[in-house]
Amino acid sequence: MRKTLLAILLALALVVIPAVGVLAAPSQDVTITATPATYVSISNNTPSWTVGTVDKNTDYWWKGSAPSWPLGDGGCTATITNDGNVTENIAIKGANFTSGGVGWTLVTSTPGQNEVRLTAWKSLDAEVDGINLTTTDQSFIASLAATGTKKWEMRMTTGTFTDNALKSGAVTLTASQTP
Amino acid sequence: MKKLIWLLVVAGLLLAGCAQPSPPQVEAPQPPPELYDKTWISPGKVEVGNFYPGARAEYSLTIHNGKDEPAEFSVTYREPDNTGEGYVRAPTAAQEWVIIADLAPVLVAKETRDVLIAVEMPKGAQAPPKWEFWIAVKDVTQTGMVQTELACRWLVTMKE
Repeated sequence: MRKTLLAILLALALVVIPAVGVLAAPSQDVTITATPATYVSISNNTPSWTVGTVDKNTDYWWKGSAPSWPLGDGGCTATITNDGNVTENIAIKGANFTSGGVGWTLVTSTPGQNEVRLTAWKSLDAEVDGINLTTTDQSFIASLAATGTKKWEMRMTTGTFTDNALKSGAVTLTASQTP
Repeated sequence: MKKLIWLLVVAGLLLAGCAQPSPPQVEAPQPPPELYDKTWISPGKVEVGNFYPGARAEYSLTIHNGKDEPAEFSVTYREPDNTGEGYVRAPTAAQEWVIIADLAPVLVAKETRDVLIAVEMPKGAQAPPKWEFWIAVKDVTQTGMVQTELACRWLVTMKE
């Protein structure tokens, strides 16, 4: 009789112990929510800008010449397209120019020696709306609808320089789902 | 013998009652065909609720290489440049809490791949009630001066 009772208790223990974790789960577990069928995607139809030989303290426009203001689509070089299926915000940032010689530092004020300024506008902006790029992200386009497009333009302003080595800069457009 | 049968019946009933139901099989949604030739990430937003120090949350970020050639991507933690209503930027320490299973996946042409993202908050760590960080995905094989990057928002709400 004692053996049978022991066997029953043992069996119950083996069954109940693994179940304790299930029974004792906290009532407020961490929750994770996401909408799987949301896609974030953008494209920019003009990735390159070869400026060529530059002079000191001079403005260079991506389009080739200064536009009229407010900026119209015709004054823009590139088009950003929201290829995703959600509304997106687009941020923009630059990078210091690299070189085989002396690099140029990206600045937001009038460029000095071995400095450069990059300014970006989107269609319908006034001249004062231009964003002087920095190495950190700044909001550029808000709430670009799915499949929507926005044209944009850039200007490079040179400072003075101490060598004639080739320079290259970079601009990054970051798309995120609009909150 | 009777007792043994009775014991087996009781054990069987208990096991059946305690067994966890298998999770429903959910088929991953298929992206619209027009996205086949585009590089995209999914989802755009992950919301974590009831989070607390010592907890872990994870979700897979799907990356698609829309190019006709292989591409290497960088998958990185990044601070948001804007936040959802009521959310603030993640504390600086949060970048140490985020685990990215593959920081530099290489995807062949048109490949779609999941990369597991986990946020594991150490016990004793502190965070605002609602905070946000982003996971940025960039095709590092892009050439040209202007390049694009995609970001997935992670919105974390702490347990009250």
